[in-house]
Amino acid sequence: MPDVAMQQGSNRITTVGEATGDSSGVTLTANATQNVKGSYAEIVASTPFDSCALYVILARPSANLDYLIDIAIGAGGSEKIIVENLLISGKIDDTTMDLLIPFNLPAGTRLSARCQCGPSAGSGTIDIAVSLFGRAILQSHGLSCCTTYGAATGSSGATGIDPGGTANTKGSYAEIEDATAKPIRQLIVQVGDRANNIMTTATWLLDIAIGAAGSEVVLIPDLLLVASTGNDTILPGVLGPFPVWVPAGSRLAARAQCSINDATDRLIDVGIIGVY
Amino acid sequence: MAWQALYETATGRLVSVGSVVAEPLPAGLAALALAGPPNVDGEMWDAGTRAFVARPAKVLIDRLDDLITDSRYSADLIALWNALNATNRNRLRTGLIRLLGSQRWRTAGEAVDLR
Repeated sequence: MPDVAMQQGSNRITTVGEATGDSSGVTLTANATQNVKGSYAEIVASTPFDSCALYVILARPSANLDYLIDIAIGAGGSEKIIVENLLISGKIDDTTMDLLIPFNLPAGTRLSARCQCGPSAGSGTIDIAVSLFGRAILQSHGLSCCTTYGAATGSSGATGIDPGGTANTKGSYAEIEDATAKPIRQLIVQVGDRANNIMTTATWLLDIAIGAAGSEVVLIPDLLLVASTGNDTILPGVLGPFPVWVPAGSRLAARAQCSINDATDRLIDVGIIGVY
Repeated sequence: MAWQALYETATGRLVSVGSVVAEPLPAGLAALALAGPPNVDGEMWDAGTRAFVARPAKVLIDRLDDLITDSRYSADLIALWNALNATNRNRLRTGLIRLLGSQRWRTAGEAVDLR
């Protein structure tokens, strides 16, 4: 659960609920009875800092059913729901959802979630990971330009990221930009499948970092990505925007871990849109 | 700036690739000069040789072959296939390809059955 204070602005982003053992998130299991909530699964026992927003990623449903998800705070057995009945229509391994919820949470908060499935009989699971934003959410005041980094116009893609040959282990950083032209106040991550139209079911945890090669610092850790044999693409295709404060002249890099080590299907494209 | 690949001296594990490199290099890392950014599609890092090597080509399996050659999936279809002459085999083949559409090809780890 890495986190880093940004160089200016004292903003922070960290991800909780990431499951590095299989490159996924915390698994929520619905009650065996349809349309009944399952038990809570802990996302994090104690949030590491005061946060002002939750960026929730839901992925990898195991059933072709509708899901309703509750996100809660509080100790086990006395959870209090803060976001109730988030709807995601599950298609096995195919559907994902990411959403930003502006919500203040003090440091030390226990975060958990639960789900139900329906409307017909059956039960299922779904993964969740949550990125916590520190002191800033998203302010458009004064922002009026975007710069895209990492685009590969020669192949109509972006910067290739190889998680490497060891599954569920972070691979090497790939350079997306050697020196940002402008400061970045909001950062949007784009993800592509490198025109791989026949993919293996897999999950990734993606890090966005700044700093020279060999001394990178992770800005945004463990963004959960999914591909499946059914949709044959990687989702979500866009994540963010994330509130950051990256100075002009910064090197941008990305790395990932993947649940598979297939030499082709583990590859992803990553680009970054910097808003300033 | 010149591109370099940074790897762990002890293990050969690739740590980072880029044109802006920490100075001095953190302890335990070594740098390999590159002609430019690596071609991710065509090559991949090999920790053993501390070099980029050719990325193996992706192997795809034809579900049509699964259906007409592997009795685990459709013994009846195989019996039908074997009873056909070449002309009718081609007709059936054409129809199955249209039916499978984009799901004709699968990876080795992917089930034969369509979801």
